[in-house]
Amino acid sequence: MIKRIKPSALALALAIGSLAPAAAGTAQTSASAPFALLADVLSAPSKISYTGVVESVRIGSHGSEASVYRIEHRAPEMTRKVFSAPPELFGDSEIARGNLKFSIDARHHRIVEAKNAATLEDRRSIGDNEALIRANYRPVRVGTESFDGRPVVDALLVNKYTNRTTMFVRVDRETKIVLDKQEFGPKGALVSEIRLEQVRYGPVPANDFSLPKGYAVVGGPKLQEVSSDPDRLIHDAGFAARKPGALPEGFTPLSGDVVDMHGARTVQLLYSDGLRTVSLFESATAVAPNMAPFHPQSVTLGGRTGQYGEDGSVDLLTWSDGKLYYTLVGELGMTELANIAGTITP
Amino acid sequence: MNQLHPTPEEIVDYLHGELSPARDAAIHAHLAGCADCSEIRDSELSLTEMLKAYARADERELPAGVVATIRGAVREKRPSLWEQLSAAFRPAVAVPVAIAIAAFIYFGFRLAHGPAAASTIDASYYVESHAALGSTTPLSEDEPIPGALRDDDQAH
Repeated sequence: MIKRIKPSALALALAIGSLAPAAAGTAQTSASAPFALLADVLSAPSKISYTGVVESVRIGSHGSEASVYRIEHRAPEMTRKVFSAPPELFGDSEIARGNLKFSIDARHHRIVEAKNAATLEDRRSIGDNEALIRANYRPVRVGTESFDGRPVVDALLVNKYTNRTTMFVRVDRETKIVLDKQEFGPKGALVSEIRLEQVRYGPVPANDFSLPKGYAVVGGPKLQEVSSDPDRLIHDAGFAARKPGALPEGFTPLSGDVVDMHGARTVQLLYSDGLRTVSLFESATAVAPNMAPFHPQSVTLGGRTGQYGEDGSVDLLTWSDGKLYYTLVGELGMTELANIAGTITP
Repeated sequence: MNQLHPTPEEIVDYLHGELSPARDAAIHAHLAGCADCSEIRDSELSLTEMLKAYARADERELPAGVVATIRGAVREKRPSLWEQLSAAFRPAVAVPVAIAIAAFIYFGFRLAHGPAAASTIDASYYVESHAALGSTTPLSEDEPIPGALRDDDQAH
């Protein structure tokens, strides 16, 4: 059973932590202590090897997903997951080596290879990401407790501009590995939780990360190089792609890609404030996401009609100006998405 | 003398010597005393001469049958309004007209109410692509069920 913290309890914990950190059991009282904890948390996976069992759940308005898998992490950048639930994933696994990920489909004897833009363990990425979070979020230590037999530090990440709690984490006091993480949506509801239990720290053999023999290897959809330069992507789009004239406070361009959406050449631009992200998809081909599962509502965007839908953790807004077809996807609410849309097609 | 006026066709045939001798004589006598029919005869005669002159200019003679056909077309009475409407609704005309009207309505509606409905694809493509690119942000986590490992009947 996954234990969750209600937003109201978080607010209470935040108040207690802010007013009486010593009473809450925190040894560190200097202003820089939470940021030091943040830096330790971000860099810990590149230093600490461990094994354990992960329970992951994502809660949507119209459906939720959950999985359980055994994890083996070999610092700095190799991770293996072996799924035990749900039943359709039983026996499947994923192996990550740096920015390469191999999804191993045991039933079909198939390996899907994919490539990410960068690894979280990359030193430059860690520095950039930490700077982005520090710029936009206020880490708040709210206490200490025991979690699955390990002493942990509880902390919140509060958005500086909206003053909303975006994330709650339980961090292993000794290793700084995150043992429990809860994310909250724009309306404050819990939208996801991931728990690392039965954790054991120590060396993990490298041969645990070898690929099985006799499997067909197929390329995934992300084998092309991603770019951190939105202007170059827009230039190379092949059509008159646009970028937002303004972003929510704290957001900055992070990366982008040209993806194939069912045959439609689509530019994807990713923006983030360190924790929350939003993607802008643009295509000159008349394609749009099927919004029916999200029970969409019509919204007016500068005289045009768009469709907005949300599924707990992720919100979608899609519209067209008659020339291009736009879709925004991200952990933002309708107002923020509509504001971004208004700066793309005024 | 036949007191009834000859028809224009009979006058043309008269001019071309295609009537029986008796009828030819009767019309000849009628034309001598009928100004209206004489006018028709003169008009037909001038048309015949004009066609002959055009043919000579082209150094060729029009076959008599062609001239007769042209005259026949000229004489053909004007179709009624109903006949014109009926002709307009022939399939060869009506189908292109219907397509043009439908296109006008379609594009007119589109211009008035924004772009046409785009073809839709599973929204999970967008969500997964967003998650894949966003996985490089700190503290992000993969989806509980990886897209690459979903059952074929579940994925998209």
